Amino acid sequence: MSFETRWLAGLPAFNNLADQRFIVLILQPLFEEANRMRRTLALMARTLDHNAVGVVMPDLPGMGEHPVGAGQLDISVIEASLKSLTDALATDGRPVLVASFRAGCLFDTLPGAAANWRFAPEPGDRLVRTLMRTETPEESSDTHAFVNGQSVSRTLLNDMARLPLPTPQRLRTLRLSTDRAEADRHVEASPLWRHAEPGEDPALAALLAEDIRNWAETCGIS
Amino acid sequence: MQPDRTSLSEEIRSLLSDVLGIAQDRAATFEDSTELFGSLPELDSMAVANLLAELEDRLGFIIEADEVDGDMLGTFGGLVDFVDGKLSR
Repeated sequence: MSFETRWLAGLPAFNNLADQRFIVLILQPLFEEANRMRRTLALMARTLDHNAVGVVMPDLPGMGEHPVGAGQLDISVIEASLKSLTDALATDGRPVLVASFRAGCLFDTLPGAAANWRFAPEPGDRLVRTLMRTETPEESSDTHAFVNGQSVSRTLLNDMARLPLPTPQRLRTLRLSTDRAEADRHVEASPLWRHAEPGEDPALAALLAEDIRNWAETCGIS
Repeated sequence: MQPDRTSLSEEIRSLLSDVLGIAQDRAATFEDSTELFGSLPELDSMAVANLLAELEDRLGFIIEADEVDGDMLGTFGGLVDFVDGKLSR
């Protein structure tokens, strides 16, 4: 079974969609958290792929290798990119389960999604509060804040701080056991998105992949 | 119910280990007088932001910008005192 990167709707995606019954669209965390979780999410995607699940894991604008940098980013750019991606997936005709992580959950209520699954969702105000704690004032300007080592539009930060987590209809949520917030399941693991260096947690990747597959089955889309 | 200081110290050692990526047996040696910010190379400004966010997630309070100072992050005991004070409010 192949597992490779290709371009889909202008965004890089893991590809093995040809013979699969349903597709998991992975929405990664935003900003630096995406880098810290990427290796574990790639492991999770590979496990899903090996279990005959189609996987698409795009870099959102401003993240990873997407050509739009964080400095040019606003919420409408992220939403337009996701619409382009979901339109492309809709033509495929197979059900799509959206699996979103951290602040990626802010954008996970997509038209055509058969079900949603979340891991450690983070509302916009918390994301922005953490980002602003890293601001380097001497590198910032009236229009952009230099946070987490990159320049980010203040308009985007202000808009994101007001974004609540949406409430999709068929939703399952997982959180770490150390997180006090409500969830369908709490799991024992370290918060990779807080680590100073990108890490890899194969046990967590396997657990998440299995939970996603079980949720797809529960929802009747696998 | 608010945890006693021993339990709270254990929880903060575990949190420091998770956020800073330091071994648990090393974190277990932290005492009240152990110096943190400025002495612990893993604890740079980015790590401080993540440490504060993780404290908020795990312990259910919000830390305002004017609450973060040298006393709070200077030593392990100072950090435990700060969290203890937040939980007792």
